[in-house]
Amino acid sequence: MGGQQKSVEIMIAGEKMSMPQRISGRELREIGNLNGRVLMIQRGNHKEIVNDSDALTLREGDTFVDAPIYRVG
Amino acid sequence: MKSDWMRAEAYLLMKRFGRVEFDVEHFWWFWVHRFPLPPGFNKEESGLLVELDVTYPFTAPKNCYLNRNIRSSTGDPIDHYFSGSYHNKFFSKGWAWLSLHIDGWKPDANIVRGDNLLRYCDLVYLTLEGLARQKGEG
Repeated sequence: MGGQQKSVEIMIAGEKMSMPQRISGRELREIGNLNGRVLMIQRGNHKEIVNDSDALTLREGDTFVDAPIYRVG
Repeated sequence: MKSDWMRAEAYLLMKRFGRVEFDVEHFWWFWVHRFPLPPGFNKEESGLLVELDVTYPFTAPKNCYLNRNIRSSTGDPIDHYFSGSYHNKFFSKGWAWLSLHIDGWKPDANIVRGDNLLRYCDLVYLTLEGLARQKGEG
């Protein structure tokens, strides 16, 4: 039998939300209502971009922040 | 009031980066004195000058500038970083223009929740990190 996915509590854009532990970057952005925004995981002061295609394994208390889309050139 | 907003922005920046100055008369610029650079550059930090429009905070910061002597850690020039006078209105003041553009700026009445200069600084850092990675040095 397929096991049920574990849920974890994370912070996303300042809101506490319960999410399935395994989720794609795109699903996370959509559930967090952050379309048209850049999604980043925050570790201390350092932030790392989460791509839509990333397969994430969330940990309890993970913090995600959003930012406007940016480009160079 | 705009001055209260700008002071709050300055406070957030100071908590992260230490010394910060800003244009208290027109609010046209913020200057972070010691902005840390990601790995892959010939310096560990730079000044960061953020130029604002009169419409800030409702619109994104207009431009950003770094010190003029930054190169990759192997001495190569950095893409999208203009240390000459072309496109660089602060050339004579020792700044180089980083061609960073923002789409979809979303400020909030709660300064911490919405887009703000601290978040903009994060994007400057991520941009530089990406440019270093492109050079294979990050």
